[in-house]
Amino acid sequence: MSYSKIVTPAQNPPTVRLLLLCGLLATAPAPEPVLATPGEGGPPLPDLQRVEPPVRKKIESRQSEVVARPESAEAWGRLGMALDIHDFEASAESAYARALALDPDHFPWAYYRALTLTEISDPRAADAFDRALELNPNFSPLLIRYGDFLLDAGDADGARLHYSRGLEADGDGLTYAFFGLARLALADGDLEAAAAHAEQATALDPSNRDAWGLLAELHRRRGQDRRAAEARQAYAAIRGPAVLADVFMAELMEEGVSSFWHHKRGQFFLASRLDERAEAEFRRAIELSPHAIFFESLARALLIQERSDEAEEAVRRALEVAPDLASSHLFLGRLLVRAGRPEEGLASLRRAAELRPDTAAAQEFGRQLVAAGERVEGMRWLERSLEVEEEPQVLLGVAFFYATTPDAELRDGEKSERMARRLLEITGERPEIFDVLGAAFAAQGRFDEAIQAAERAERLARGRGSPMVLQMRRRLELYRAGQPFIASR
Amino acid sequence: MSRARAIRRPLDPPGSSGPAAQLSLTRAAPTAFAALVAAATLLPAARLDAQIQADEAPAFRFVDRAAALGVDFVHGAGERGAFWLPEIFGAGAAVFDADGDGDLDMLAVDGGDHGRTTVGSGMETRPCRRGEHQLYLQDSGRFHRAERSGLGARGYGMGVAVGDVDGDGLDDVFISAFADATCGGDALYRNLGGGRFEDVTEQSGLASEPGSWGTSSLFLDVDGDGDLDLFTLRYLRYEPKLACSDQAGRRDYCGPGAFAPAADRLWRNDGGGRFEDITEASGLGAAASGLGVVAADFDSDGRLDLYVANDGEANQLWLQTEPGRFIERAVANGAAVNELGKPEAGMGIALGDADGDGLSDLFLTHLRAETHTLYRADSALGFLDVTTSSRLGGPSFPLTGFGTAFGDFDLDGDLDLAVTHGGVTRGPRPARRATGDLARDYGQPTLFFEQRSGRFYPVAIEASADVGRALARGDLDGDGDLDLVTGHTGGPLKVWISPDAPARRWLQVDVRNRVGGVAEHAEVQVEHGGRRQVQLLARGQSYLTSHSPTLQFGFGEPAPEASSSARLDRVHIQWHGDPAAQLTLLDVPMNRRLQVVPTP
Repeated sequence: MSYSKIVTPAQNPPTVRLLLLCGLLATAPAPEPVLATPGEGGPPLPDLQRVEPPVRKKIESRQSEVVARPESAEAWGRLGMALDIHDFEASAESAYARALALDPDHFPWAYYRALTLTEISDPRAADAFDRALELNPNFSPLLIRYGDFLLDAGDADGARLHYSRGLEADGDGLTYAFFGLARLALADGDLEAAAAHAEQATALDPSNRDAWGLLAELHRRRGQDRRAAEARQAYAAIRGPAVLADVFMAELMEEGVSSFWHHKRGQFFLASRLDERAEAEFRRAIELSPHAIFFESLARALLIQERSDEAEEAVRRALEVAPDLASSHLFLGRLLVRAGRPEEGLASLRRAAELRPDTAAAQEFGRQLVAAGERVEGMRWLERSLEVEEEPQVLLGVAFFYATTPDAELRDGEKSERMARRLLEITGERPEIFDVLGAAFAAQGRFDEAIQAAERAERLARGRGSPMVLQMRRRLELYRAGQPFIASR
Repeated sequence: MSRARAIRRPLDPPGSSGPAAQLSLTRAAPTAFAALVAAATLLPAARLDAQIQADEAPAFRFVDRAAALGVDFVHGAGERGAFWLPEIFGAGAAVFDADGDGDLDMLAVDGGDHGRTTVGSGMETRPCRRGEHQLYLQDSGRFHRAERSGLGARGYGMGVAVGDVDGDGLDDVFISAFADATCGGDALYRNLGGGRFEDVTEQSGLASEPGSWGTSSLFLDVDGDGDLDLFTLRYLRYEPKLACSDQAGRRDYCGPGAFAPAADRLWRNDGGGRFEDITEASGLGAAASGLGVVAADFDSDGRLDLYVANDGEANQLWLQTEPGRFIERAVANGAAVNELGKPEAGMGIALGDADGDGLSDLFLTHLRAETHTLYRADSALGFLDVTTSSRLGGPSFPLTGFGTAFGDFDLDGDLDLAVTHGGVTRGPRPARRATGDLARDYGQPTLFFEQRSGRFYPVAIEASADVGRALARGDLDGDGDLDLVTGHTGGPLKVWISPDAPARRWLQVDVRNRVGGVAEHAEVQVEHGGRRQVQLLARGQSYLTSHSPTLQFGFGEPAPEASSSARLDRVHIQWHGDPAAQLTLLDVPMNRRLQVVPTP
């Protein structure tokens, strides 16, 4: 569940406040229709037709508990959670509100209610956040989320207050507090302060992708191109968005019983190397909805457990359901190559690359072709992948190939030079790029420039203690002798 | 290391001695074009009974008058529970003068019946049935269906581009589509005059291959040869057999990440009725899931560049470095991702000078939980994401936006915003019965924002709950202020009329080329009271949309007696493609539509 943001009227002059309220009314979703009315004393429920059976069962079971114990805040709150996690936010909010009315001091119901109200863009969200804060003033995820809410509502002072309190609070919100302060400083136009806060965020948690992304933009605005490129690389290297650790949200996620949530949890377990638990979740998701993507996830979990045959069977099931699913062809291709069946593997990889000439598929196919000795076609696919995404390592490899290939008909110093220059734009100065640039100049017979580039490469590599120094020196000597560097076949 | 930035020269302050300020009718540059005599036709305003609104009230309002105006189009999405992805993306619309009678007409793009339906856990496919695009011609303030327009549908219709491809002065029409082997795909229609069109798709070479999915498109003269070329976006390589579920386990539409992106297409007009695919040669062959596009000269080198909003991937800023050759520079110019470095689900684009500094800013609509994004153009840094400080983040956070347009709706001299919304998955909008009724599951309101000193505030308008897609801009009723047309997936075409007479002084500028056609990508500057406004004639923007070619300016001054005496200081027009093709008019009457037609 993500959290929403709406405008806070109190921060605006009276005339504008009226407009904002009107606007919010226009954006607020219509009330959830009551399509199933339970027994006496029970809550109104949304339409549960077509939901997966465990979802219906869970919600109806929680509803029965409420009917049996209508004065139980716990029963109402638990019903809210079951509704909330399955995307019935408006009904969930009603249940949370009832739970709070019965037990006004129970923090989780207040917290969930605030988040649910933001999700459905309800103007009561600010009051709900305040109530939650009264109950648990030192819980950092709440402070961070409230700060975000206020920042997007235009209340910079309120946001600053809560982010600052987040710096002192319990929990793992420190990175996010700095991140929020960086956003605030950026909104104020103070790039230096913003960069300082963002750097603190990345230092505290180098895996926080959002902080790297912000830092990249801040460096760009400050004219620091190289640092911007480095931050962008750090961002690109991190899979998935940053997730604020939050015990209450984790508890809410556990409530999900649909195939969607089984799959989500399976992915989480897989990332946490809890492979058997991941497998069980994926199998449960498939039981509920035999989607191709679920079969593919199961195959991943099985392969990690070294159960290749079962993994192959699972991914082939995925392809039975969706024959043109590129990611499954890619997975199958890799699996088969690894299993010592290169011809079958290359066929699957080719299909994946044809379907999805993006970085993963085309690059993998290109690499495998190169490894299989089919360098020309391999390079063609690697180049194709670059059209979609200029992955620096691939660009470097292809540029080096065109500068140094022993096949004179393929050698293309100009193309290699263009690629190397592009690399300099993307990643900033790195020794291996100047090394390739030197080779590209040499391939064109421009040895003076080749020597300059190679000297620079060697100097940079030496400064970084790179093991490439020796090779670079050898190439430099060749250029000084008026010879290009030609790779061996 | 140098970094290529999209740097556009900031305008000189009004009254300065910069080059722009020196131009006037009597000091035209000594070139062939400048030697032409401009015929500036001052057209009387249709209605001048101005009324000043109270400051406390919203500064503008719109009312859907489709039914009263005779517009009865309902988009056919063809949904039958198969969750066939293209069916949730359609409903293009255009506002243009189709019959050449001087007033604005409307074109609604239909989807059709794609033939897919769910049978058990599988999908059954029957032959497709083409939709019925509908052209509405205006006559005395009302619209009527042009029954024999010749705009018969091909494929599963998506969006529309309008431009004079054969140089006869009449607007021709290109309709993008999801292509099917039986029903066909993209289509080009030549305007024969009088509201009639001829399908010239096959002759033009623009027929698309089955499975290709065309979305937004636009015409532009990319090679400077004087005729209009075509750039059309391709969204995804769609795999219909891939199924997805929502959080409660109900079938729902898949996101774009499940499919391979497709490469957009650039077609060169040979001037003889045929188009050649020059995508690869142009450098535009990178695959990305494009949904919105706009063409403008972002780096002020005299060549049109392209900006593409991609769904879930970094946006692309294609700078034209030589005729027909482009390089991608969005990251370096801050227009690829938001301020947090995140690619967003780019849908529609509005281009306009939101902050009045003379540079074209970009507003992009996005998926729920992302916020829409306003990129302010900066002369040194390319673009800066200013969503937070402009207050556009909060109201847009819970909504999925598509069509959008800047426009000075309250004629106060700055640009306001309109955005259509509609889900592509169920999301937190209260989930209702999954009957296939798209509006109930995916409907969201169209929002209007009034700008006040750089901040945008939602204006209360009737809260609709349709699946909003296209949004086209134009003064449909000819009363001097802007009206809007919105297309809705599986829903009605809405005609949002600004019902009140303009309360402030205004000017409309209609720039033509030598044959009387629309002068695409001309730039118009107006100066009044020490303030300068700049607008670019870029019809192809928003989402699946073509705007009216007439540019609208407001001046913020009450206009109780505006018809007789109000005049503005200066209007400067720069035609695209020839730096010397420009014209300056001084002491220009306000509250008029100014039509500028260069005469040989």
